[in-house]
Amino acid sequence: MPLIEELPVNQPPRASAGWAYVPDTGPIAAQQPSTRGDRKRLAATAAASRNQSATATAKQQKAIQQRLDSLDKENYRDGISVPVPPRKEKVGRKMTSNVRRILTYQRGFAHYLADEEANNPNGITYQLPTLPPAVPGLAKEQNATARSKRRSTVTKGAMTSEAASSDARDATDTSQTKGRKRGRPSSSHKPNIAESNLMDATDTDAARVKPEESQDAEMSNAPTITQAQQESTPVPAQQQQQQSPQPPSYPPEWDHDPLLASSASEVPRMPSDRVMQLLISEPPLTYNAARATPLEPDKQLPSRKFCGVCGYWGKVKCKKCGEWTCGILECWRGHEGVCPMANAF
Amino acid sequence: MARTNPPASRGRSDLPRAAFVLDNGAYSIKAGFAPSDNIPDSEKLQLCDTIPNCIVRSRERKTYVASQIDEITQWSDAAFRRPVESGQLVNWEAQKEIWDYSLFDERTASSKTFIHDPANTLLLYAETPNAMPALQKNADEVIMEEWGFGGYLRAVGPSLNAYNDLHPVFEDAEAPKAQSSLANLPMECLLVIDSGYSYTTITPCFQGKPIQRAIRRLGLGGKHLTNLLKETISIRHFDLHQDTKTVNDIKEDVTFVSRDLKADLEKTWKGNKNWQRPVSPPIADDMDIDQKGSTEDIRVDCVLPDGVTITRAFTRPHDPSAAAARKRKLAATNPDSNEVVMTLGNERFTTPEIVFSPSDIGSQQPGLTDCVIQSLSKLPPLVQATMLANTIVVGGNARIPGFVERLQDELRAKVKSEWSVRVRNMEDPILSTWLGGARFTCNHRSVVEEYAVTKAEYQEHGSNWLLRRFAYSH
Repeated sequence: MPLIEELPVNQPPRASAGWAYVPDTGPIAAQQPSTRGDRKRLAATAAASRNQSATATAKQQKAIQQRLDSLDKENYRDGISVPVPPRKEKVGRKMTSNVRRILTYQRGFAHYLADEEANNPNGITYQLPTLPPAVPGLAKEQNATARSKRRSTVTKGAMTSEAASSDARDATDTSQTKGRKRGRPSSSHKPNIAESNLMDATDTDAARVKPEESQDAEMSNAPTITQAQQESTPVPAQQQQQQSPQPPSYPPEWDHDPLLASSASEVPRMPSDRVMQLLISEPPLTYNAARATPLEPDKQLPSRKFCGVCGYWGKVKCKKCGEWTCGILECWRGHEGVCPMANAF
Repeated sequence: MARTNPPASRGRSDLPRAAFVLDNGAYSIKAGFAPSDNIPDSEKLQLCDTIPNCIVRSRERKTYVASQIDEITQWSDAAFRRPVESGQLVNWEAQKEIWDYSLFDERTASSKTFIHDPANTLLLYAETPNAMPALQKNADEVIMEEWGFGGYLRAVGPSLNAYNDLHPVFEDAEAPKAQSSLANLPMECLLVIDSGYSYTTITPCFQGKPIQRAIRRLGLGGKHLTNLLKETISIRHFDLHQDTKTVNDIKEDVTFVSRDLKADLEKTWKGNKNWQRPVSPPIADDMDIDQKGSTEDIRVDCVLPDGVTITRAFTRPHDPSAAAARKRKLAATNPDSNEVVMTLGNERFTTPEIVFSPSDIGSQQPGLTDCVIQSLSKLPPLVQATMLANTIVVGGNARIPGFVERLQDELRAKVKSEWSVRVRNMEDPILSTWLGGARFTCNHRSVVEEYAVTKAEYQEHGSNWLLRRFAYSH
């Protein structure tokens, strides 16, 4: 009876002299002695290497973090203290207790940041200190401030109308915020946080999440459809306002020609003044909230590799330590000399 | 009870006329009195002084404060102490010493920055965006209680740039004279990218005020570039780990941002067949850096200081011929010649490259362009478009050749083609914020009066009140 059996199509890989292209599967591929031939041992080491590759990434992460920290350093080694030189003679002024306290703080940036994080566990904006409950006299006085500020901007009639109006807006704006502060000192900026959460979404429009504002804008600028039809000029609102006195100098049918559709018609509408004033009167974000956030993994470009010796593209990876070199022998030798894993086996 | 002199009705005559503008950077302080009348910007800049914001202890264990560091010739092994850590003014012990030395001491302060009478001076203090309230409070208290300024206004530094005369910067053609009245108004929409020593911030400003929700920060700045270059040079050439200042000088002299990284890397690769061939001479003399990069050799020879005859590193063009290489080899073995030379190639542009591609050093942060996009995504669409057309880069890194062009290229590739992208920098990007502050106090006295506080007001209401007031005003 003839023997029928399945012959392997691919020969098992055999160690051979020379070099070969090997897919780059993980951080550091081979860290253990080659085990070929014994299937059991092969499986065991494969599992071990899987584990090890995870730890290797952790190790690598740590190395990267260490490197980033070292780039952030002021001095080349830690623990250097440069004392302030003593002044020859004291200045006559007397230090207030606040100043003395601040000067003797031996705190670094990390302390302040930790404090900040503890005070605002998941805050987007800074928690400002609340003022002590208003003394009747003080409140009256602040009232007066706000009112007289309004008055003062009105009296500044000599200014150009534009500047004056913007000033008035500022003034009303500050008085509004003041009013809010006085009314509810503890929750004064909660509305802002809520807004920022809302508007953060995509902001394709601020207008969408803020119906009143969008209405504002429409009312003031945008023509109704009937008006537009009457004038048969479907130009955007602002342009229309400016151009309405004289008719356009081109045939009206050009407006509907898709070939002539200009990019100007795609320019989005300028948000109303109120939106802009709200935007600039928001409280600052916390230090951590202002950090640029890492891109999502699918948007990130694959990280580029550079030769550790000469800085050219990294094309060849060291089998032992995972460092890249560019492929010229000179660089490779240079790396071999300093490879941290060279004597690992 | 109500005061005899309520703040708004007094017309703010109790605010001092003299205004001192202080941009307290991590690396250097930009300070000077704002002129009282409107003089051209070039003359305004004459009033500003740049003071190193550090205390240095040299190898001989001698301590140098602020501008004293100019005396140091042996920079090796110098230790630095900077009051501004990670962009925030943290250490007031050191900061007070530096300010005392360079602003308040008659004998040591320069004539431009000596504040004779703080009680009759209004201080415009430019702070970093997103400063922590605890640190802001410290600053307010020390400024008002230790030196007792007559008037005080704390503003977000980058936003002051909006008061600069930016129309000529953005208009390619000469701006018509009729707009000169406009020049004094703040730019309506301006995106300020402040790339400083500790980090890079992106601040969109509307009518000279920052839009807080969109301020973003990239944790890479000049310090990281210097440290990276130091690391690279130490691996490839000489161990300069202890010579921060020397490497910083080299960085300032030779680095540039590549507009075509691939091509530039090819040019500086040893495996390249043109490696030893002399490069054809440049075609024209008056070419800007990006054109130069394409025709000229990128490699430069950098001569390190020896502390005796050469006190600062300098560079000269590299001669790639074999004869020159032999000569260099001979000089290196000759004990008489004590000139230490190294050839810098791709270090010149891979160093600043990390700002645009932090993943090159393994950082998770997005590149500068993505940071700008992140910041803009918090704004209404038309404002985004306007910001992109009015983007200015300030801070020390803006001086790196090619930085602005690269940013413009990358932004261009990221946004709709209908939107125009204009990225520019001022003639002197380091002093740009100071100049904006000077123009602000000079041309917008009414705004200053509206927001500044007097010493009396501070004494009455205290620092918490001040914190709230500045948080909501500017």
